[in-house]
Amino acid sequence: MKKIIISFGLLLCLTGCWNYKELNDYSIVTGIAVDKKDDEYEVSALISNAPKSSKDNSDSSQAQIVVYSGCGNSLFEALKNIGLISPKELYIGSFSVLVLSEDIAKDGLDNVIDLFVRYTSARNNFYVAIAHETKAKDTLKIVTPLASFPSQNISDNLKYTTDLQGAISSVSFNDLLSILLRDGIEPVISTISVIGDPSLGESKENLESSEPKSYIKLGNLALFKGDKLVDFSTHNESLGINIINNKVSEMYLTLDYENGYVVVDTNAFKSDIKTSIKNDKPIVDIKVNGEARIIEIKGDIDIEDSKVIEDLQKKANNKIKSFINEAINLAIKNKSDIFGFGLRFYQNHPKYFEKVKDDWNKNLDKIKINIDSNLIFKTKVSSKNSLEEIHEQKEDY
Amino acid sequence: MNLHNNIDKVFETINKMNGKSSDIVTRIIEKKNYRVGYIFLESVSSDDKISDFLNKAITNLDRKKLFESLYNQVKNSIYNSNMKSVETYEDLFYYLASGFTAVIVDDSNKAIIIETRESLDRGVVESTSETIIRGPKDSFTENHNKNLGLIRKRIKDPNLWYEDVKVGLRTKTKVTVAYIKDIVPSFKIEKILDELKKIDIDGILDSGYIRDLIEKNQKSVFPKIISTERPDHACNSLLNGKIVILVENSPFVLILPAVLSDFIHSPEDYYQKSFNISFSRIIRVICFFLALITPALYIALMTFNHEIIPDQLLISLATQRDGVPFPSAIEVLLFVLTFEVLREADIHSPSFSGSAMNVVGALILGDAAVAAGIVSPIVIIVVALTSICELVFYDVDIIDAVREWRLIFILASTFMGIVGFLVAFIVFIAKLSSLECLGTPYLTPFSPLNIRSLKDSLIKVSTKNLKNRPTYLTKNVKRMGDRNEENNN
Repeated sequence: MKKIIISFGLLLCLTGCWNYKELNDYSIVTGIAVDKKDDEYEVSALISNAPKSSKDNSDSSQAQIVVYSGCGNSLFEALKNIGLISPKELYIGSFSVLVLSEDIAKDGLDNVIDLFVRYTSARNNFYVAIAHETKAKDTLKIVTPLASFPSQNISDNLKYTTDLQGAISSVSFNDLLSILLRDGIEPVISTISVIGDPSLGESKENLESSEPKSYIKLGNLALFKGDKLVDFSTHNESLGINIINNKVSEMYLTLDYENGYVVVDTNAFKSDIKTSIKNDKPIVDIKVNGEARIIEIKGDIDIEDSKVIEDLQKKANNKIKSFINEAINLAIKNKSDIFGFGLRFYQNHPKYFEKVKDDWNKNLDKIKINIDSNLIFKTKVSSKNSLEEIHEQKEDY
Repeated sequence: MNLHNNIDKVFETINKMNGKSSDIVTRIIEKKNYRVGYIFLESVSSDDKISDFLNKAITNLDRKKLFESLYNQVKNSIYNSNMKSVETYEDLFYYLASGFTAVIVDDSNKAIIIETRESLDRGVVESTSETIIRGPKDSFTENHNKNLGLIRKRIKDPNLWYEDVKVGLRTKTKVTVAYIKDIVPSFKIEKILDELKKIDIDGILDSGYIRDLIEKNQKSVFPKIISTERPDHACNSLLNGKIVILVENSPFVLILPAVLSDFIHSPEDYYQKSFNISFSRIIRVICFFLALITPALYIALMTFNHEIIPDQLLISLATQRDGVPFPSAIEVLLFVLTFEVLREADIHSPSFSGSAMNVVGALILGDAAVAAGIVSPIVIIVVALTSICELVFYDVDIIDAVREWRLIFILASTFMGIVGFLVAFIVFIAKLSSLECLGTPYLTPFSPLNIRSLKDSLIKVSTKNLKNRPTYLTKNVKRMGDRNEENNN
């Protein structure tokens, strides 16, 4: 027994504390931005565990942040060059967002992504976003009073608004990777942009003012073909893309009706795609199901009338169909199968897809697409008619 | 050595044996034609009782059959005390030290001893080491007879047997093995009595001695014998088929065999609603593991496996640790040690200095250490959590065992991170599985799995469904429903 204990103890010593590293010996990187500077990569790292100066101890909610940039011919070289500036080793294990500039995206994602696939200590659940009409680096600098550090702001925004806004969808690195590695599907990535002057956003005043001078806003989607950025979608197209990709759970529709409008909020939104082949021609059936309730009415609209509801329902379904059509036209225009129709054909009709694989993206317009939208109104509302109308009735007395 | 047949000689020998100790009282009462001598130790005997019985006993004795008439006289007139005749000096002295008074007459090699014991102990008071909210409040005392009585008055079954063994060459301490004859398998009793008889030691001062001496064959920090102050706990164990050992002069009785799940139980568990108790027990199990592994896990995560920590927490931990000069492991060890010192000091300090201790512990060690940058706040939280978690156990032995294993876990994860932690955990489980007491594996009823006994282990089903005793303790398992069956037949 004694021998076992002694040998066990010796074994412990032999490990030499493999991989031992104290947490505070690291500069923890929470966001990475990649820009293009001349012919080199400019990589910026957002470091979020900078020690606070003693004066700031009072407001402990905000972490001190630093953005360091380094340039290099390769991403890793650029990252290592940041190490020259940072006093501690960079810890890239758990950053939450990777922002790529438009230039980089146009050149192709493969070069950038390769590093993070190989880099063993990096977690793969960070979000990927494209900086639209701004430098990627600037997006990491904008401080906001509502989040501890900018990367958290971006990642939380992507995470939570995806469910609430139909036009936004977030893409994590894992999702992106699996899309890039497959045939018959092309990625779409959400964009972010800086509103206001970026140089104002990095100052402390931005934190303290109640109306920040500069902030980050989520934008529409960036379309890719292969690993290269080809186009940006409009709001309606983004909605269409997300509806087809089944990434919408809540969205609103504004329906013009007579001289007013009705706004409906949808939930339990679901799209179902079925593929089939008829006479050697691919057919895609898109079926959208959902429920909607009226949340805003303007004008003289009697929603107790079932005919009105039917009309509205028809309008809503037409609107959804038009979103989908717009999205499909965008895909055809860019020759990029962002909906993964090809992947579905590959899964359901592998022999057929094998034949048409090479020209799939070019022949998107040859697919026959049937769209069926079945949105049902639930008219359980607190006030049946608009307030305006009720006021008018009162005046009549 | 046999007694002499002369009073003077007996007195002389006793005094010689005892070096004329000041508490030995020898007296000779002269009657017309005979003498009666008596000896007692005034330190352990009651004067009132002695004079009372002497008045009654030693008048009108028959000169020719002096001893026999004395014996009859005593037997017939003193009915409220133990009496006996002894023949050797060793026996005589044992009884004298136990508070008996010896009466001797000439021409006889025997002495009559009568119990005149002075009560040298506190009464039955509330338990101080195992406090409960609801349930009987009495506790065992230092008085052996009272202890036996506290059990007997709860279990009036003639099958409750007491067997005495005298242990200790010098202290000659009475050790009583209590069990219910028809529940406990006899081989267990024989084994325990054997172990007790084998003990060769000069003195037994507390049941702790006995526990160590009969537990010696397996080395482990985990207790395999419960020691309790509560008679209701002892009786519950007896009814379940366990064996209780009572030791003279010790308010703590031993219950064996114990399994690990006994230590997450509390005597109080059987007096409250079963559902609530199941909840409490699950909390205790969680606490058991928290107390065991929290510091080790903290070290492993902080120094090796950062990737497990969620992003937000990672930043928070890193900023908290900033400026702390020591490695995480040293930091944790320092504070674990500090808490142990505080606890040790608290146990031995009289109650009036308790509040000073609180101030030192809470303010100086907690707040000031963080402000001074010696430790990070999270370490205080980790150590505090660990310490609070170990306090939910009523048994001090299990707390000590957890404390020692915690150190092993800390060392393993200091050197090897999560891998070391897992290795230590495997060793921990292997060690626990290897223990047994009186043939009962330590992890019963979980391993080996005993589904029937699971009803009262991690959870407790309602008392009306608890129809059987644990099958790993006895073959006579039925504890409810016998009478109903008889009536039906």
